[in-house]
This record gives sequence, C-alpha cells and structure tokens, in this order.
Amino acid sequence: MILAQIGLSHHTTPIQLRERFSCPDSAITNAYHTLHGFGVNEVVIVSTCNRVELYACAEMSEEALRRTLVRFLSQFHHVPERDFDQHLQWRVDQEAAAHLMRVAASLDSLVLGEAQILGQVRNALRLAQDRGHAGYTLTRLFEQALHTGKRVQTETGLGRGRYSVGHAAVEMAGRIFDDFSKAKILILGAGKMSEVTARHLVEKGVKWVVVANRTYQRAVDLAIQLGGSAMAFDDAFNSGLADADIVIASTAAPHAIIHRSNLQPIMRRRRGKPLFIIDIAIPRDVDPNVNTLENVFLYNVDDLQHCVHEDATRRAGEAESARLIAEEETLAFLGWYRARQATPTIAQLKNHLDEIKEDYMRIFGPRLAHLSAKDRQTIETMVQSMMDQVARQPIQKLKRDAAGEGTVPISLAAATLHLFGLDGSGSGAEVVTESVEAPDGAPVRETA
Amino acid sequence: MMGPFIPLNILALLLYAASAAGYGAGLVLDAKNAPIADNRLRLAGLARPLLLMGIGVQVAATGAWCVSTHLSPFAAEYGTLSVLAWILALALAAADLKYHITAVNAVAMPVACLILFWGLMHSDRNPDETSLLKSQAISVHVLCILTSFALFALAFGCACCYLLQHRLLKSRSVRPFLRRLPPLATLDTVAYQATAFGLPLLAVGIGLGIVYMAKDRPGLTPMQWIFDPHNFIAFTLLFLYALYIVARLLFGWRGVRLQYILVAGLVLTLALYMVPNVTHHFQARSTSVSGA
Repeated sequence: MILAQIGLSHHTTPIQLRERFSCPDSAITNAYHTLHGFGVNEVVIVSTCNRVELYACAEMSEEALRRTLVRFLSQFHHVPERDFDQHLQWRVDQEAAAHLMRVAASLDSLVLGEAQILGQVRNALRLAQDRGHAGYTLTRLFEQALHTGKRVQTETGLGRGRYSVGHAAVEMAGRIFDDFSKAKILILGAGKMSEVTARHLVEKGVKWVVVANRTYQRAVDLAIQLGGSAMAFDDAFNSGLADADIVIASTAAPHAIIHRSNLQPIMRRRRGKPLFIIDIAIPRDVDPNVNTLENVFLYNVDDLQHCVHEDATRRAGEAESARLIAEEETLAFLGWYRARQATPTIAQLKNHLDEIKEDYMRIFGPRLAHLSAKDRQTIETMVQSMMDQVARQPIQKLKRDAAGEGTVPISLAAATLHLFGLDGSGSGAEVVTESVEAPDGAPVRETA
Repeated sequence: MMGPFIPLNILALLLYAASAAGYGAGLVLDAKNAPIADNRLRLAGLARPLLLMGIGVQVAATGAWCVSTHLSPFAAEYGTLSVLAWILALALAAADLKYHITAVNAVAMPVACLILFWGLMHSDRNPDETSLLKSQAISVHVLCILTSFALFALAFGCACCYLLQHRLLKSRSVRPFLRRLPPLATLDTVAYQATAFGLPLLAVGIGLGIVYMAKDRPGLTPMQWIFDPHNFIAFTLLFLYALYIVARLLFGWRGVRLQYILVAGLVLTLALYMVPNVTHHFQARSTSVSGA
C-alpha cells in the first residue's frame, strides 16, 4: 500500500494555471466519481485558493499511482498534461504525511499562520467521507493533520497573528482609504471567503455593505449577517460598481465577469474616485487588464498574500515552533501508519497459530473423550494460553519494528513471513505447515 | 549685517535639519517593524518637538530682525526666505499634528531647510530700506504670496506621495520603507485643504499687487504688466490652482490627474521665482527684493 500526494500549489504554479484546476464543492462529487473510475478509491481532494492537492492511498506501484492521478487531473480539468506536468508536486509516504501536517499548520501557506486553511482541510475530509472516499488511513492522516493545526493555533504565536486574505485586504484598503466608516463595500458572490473578507472590513468600521449574488436569497442572508443590504446581481454591474469603494469578487463563475471594457464607462462616472477590487475567486472574476484603468487597484489572492507575506515572515520564531509540532505529529502518524503495515502479518501469524491449535484439538480430541467437559475446557484454555504466550512477544516486536522503534536492522515482518512460511497475502488463511500426522498415521492437514 | 537673528536662524536651521533627519530615519528604520498603513512614526515623536522648537526659534529670529532693523522681514531676500521656510514648517507641523502625515514631512522638511539655508547664504546683502517696503499693504501682499507658496509646497509634497503610493499600489509592491506612506485619501484631503487655503491667499496677494500697480505705477499699461513673464506666470498659477479647486469642488473629481496639477503648480511656482522681472520690482532696485 502506498500513501501519496500530488498537486499544484502557489509555490510552483502561477494563479493563471492554478485556477484551471479549481475544484469547487459543487464539482467535488463528480471528481470523486471520476477518480473511482480511475481505480483510486481512497482519496481526498484539497482544493483551496492556494492549492489543488490529492491525497491517495492505494494498492499499486508508485509510478502507476502517479500516472493515474496525473491522467485524472488532465482529463477532469481538461488541461493537457504537458501544460502542468512540470508544476506538479509528488510526495509519497512520509513526505506526503509531513506535507499535509505543514499545510494544516499553515506553514505551507503563502501567509504563515493564516486561519482559513484548517477549516479547508476539515471540509476536504468531510466531503471525502460523505462520498465514501476517505478510508481508514486517510481519515487517520487528516485527523492527525487537524490536530496539528489546532495545536499550532493554540500552542504557538503563529495563530495569534491570524493573518488571512481578509486581513491582507484590510491592510491594503488602509493604504487607499483613511476612514473605513465612509467606505462602501460591494460583495459579488455570497461565498464563505467573501463573507470572511467583508467581516474584517466591517470590523474596521465599514457601514455600507451591499451583497449581490446570483441566488438573491443567499445575498439577502449574507447582507443580514453583515448588516447591509442585498442587490440584484445584474444591478451590481451598474449602480453597484459606480457607488462602491471596495469590491469583493468571489463568485463561482468559471470565467471573468468584470472586464476592462465594462468597467471603463463606470470609472468615468466615478470621476477618478479610487476603486479597490479584491478578487478572491478561483478562477478569477476580474480580468487582470482592469488594473490598467486609472484609479483602479485590483488585487487577487496571490497579490494580497504577497503583501502580508513579509509581515508573516517576521514571525519566523513562531513558525519554528509550529514546524516542530508538525514534525512531532508526522512522527505520531507514521508510527501508527507503519504499525498498520504490520497488521496483515500479525493477523496471519495469529490465524496460523489458531489453525495449529484447531488441528491438534481435532486430532487429540477423541483421545480426551473420557474426560469431563470441564477438564476438556481446561486443557483447551491451557493450549490457547500457551499459544498466546508464544505469540505475545513476537507480535509486540513486530509492532515496534513497523513503527520504526525496532533495533533490528531487518524487517521483522518479512522475517516472520519467512520463518513461519506465511505467504504475505494478508488473509492469513493459506498457511504452509509441516505435515501433522494423526495417531493412525494419516496426514491431517498438509498443504504445499 | 550681523545681528542676533542670524545665530537664531542658524539654530532654527539645525533644529529643522534634525527634525528632517528624524522624520527620514523614522520612515526608513521604523517601517521594518511597522504594520502596513500605519503612518505614524515612532521616531516622529522625536522629530515633531524639534520641528516645533525650530518654529519657535524662527519666531524669535524674525522678531529680533524687526526690532534691530526696524524693517519688515521682506526688506531682504534673507528675511523673505526665512519667513517662507517658517510658514512651510508651520504648515507641515499643523498637517502632521492633524493628519499624522509624517512621511510627507520626511520629504518636505528638507525643502524648508534648503529655503532657510539659501536665505542664510544671502544674509550678507543689505536690506532695501525704501518706504515701499514699510507699507503694510506690500507686507500683506508678500505674506499672502509666501503663505500660499508654502501651502502649495505642502500640496505638492502630498501630491508626490500620492503618486508614489498610487504607483506602489498599482504595482502591488510593498517596499518596507515606503509602507509608511499615508493612505491616498489622507494625501488627497491634505493636498486639497492646502490648496483651498493657498488659492485665496494667492488671489489676495495678486489683488494687492494689482492695486499697488494701479495706484503707484500709473506709467505701466495693463498689457505691459500682464505680459511681464513674472506676472504672467503668477496668473497662470492662479488659474491652475483654480482649475484644481473647481474640478475637485464643483465636479467632484479625484485621483491621479488632479495630483499632476499640483505637481505642475509647484514647478510654475519655482519658475515664478526664477524668471526675470520687468515690472515686478520695488522702485529702489532693478530686481525683486521680496522674490515673491
């Protein structure tokens, strides 16, 4: 069994390419269904504005699993492999686990200590579990990662800064507007990210909030939460943009909805009043050319995060503490994961010993017929205890060895399989034994 | 001519220079650990008192001049430039105290220092003792013009910071030492207020000049007077700032283009100081004494 991670992140992939691999919650069922078709059943998709990553656990070779996942990414997102192959990050086993711990600890985020990532990891696990794609190993891995994230938030100062896109937006808006109470926000798309970003601005004193969403009722709901008002989606592109000072665009549209050509006449009507556009949608909602318009300041997710990146790096000491926690949790998971690798061997060994006992009880049972039921039970318990006693230490050693705590420079699991003549298939049913003869000389059980 | 005002102005210059260094150092050093958009400088806490002390010392220096010479400070280029530096420092201090635009002061304080330094360099010239310069109307004329220039210089500083901040925001750049630039809205407000006060003062100054010309220089025709390069530029300057105020106030225009008007305004102001005067001078001399 191999545990692997493949994906594209802000470290290696520009937003122009990353947005083509965006996998919103609405498309996730289809994605898991497609993955099932590719023969990968235990998989979790983590899709955020910074990354699109797949964590998979499968009984196939490393190369075969990589090929399968790359093919899935290419076919599902309609992007030729050659366009993204060089941007892919591929990690297996220990590296894959360690990477997820770093992601959950927000150490892999562009903004160290950002608060959203933990919720996004939790959501990814929930979506995979709901669709039956998070198996025992991945569930354990993600739970360990969530635990890591929580520890980092509570035990280090990295979480106390709580830098996020929302904070970055407030910081940048502060370079344009001096009095937030007079600023007007227009929210395009009533998603979680826009809500979080708007909430930061409202906390800074913004009083005038208008929400526009394709589903009007969702706009109304968010507007009530933020103490603002709702607007029809189409009106937002006219009066909304003309009146607003800050626009938060976070719709699920698959392409840009604000272009230079439709903003230009609006900017003329605004008479040079600055317009700060925060495009946190992936794929982006606003054509990058909009930034060439005078008095328009367009920032997408990467831009905002770069703006506060420097502030976050100032907390390098806190990051070091978080890194140690992530490493500790990775080791804890790997201990469990490797011990789990020895489970089939242990099961086979137990089955093998049980079968020997059963065989002997069957052979010698007739000779004990004269004994009372109580005595026969005593003998059977004694045999079972002997068997357990014999197996106890080898099983403990096997577990410790698998978890990496062993001192023997060989794999005890392999040695056990070899010594006991087990075939390693995992069922434990097919056991090769020396022939055992019945009292009458006929072989009781003999398998080659 | 050496009096107590020279050492006092030298002291004021040193205080201004120290204040400028404090604002500048704050802009560079404090910004490393500063959150974005927080335009208050910790070192400004030191620079601000130095600036206020410099202003106080200059008041004493100007008073000493008036007492010892019985002349208006505008009777000599030194005194005029000294007053200009004082008004600019006063405007910067007021703007800093109200809006905390310390980054603008980091840029503009060296200008005040240069003006005062330039005045001190010319302190050996004898003052013009014509009766004209004892006239209160001419003193008000010069004072109004100088105050408007100081305010336009402040507006220019804000406009430059605005353009720099605008460029940084456009390029999504976060240079550490430029993080302390004030928000665009603050810069726009301060520039507007400085111009809104400066424009009427310029108009009053020019108006008093016209009254003087009509009353005491009857030999000059209006055409001669208007096409004097100095006066022509002064009118262009008035028109330019009026254009800014009208665009801002009546049409509600904001943004980058208006800042270019303010930059052009200061360039014209400098040109006003540089161009030769044909008609704009006091009777006793062939060149302008006041420099206004």
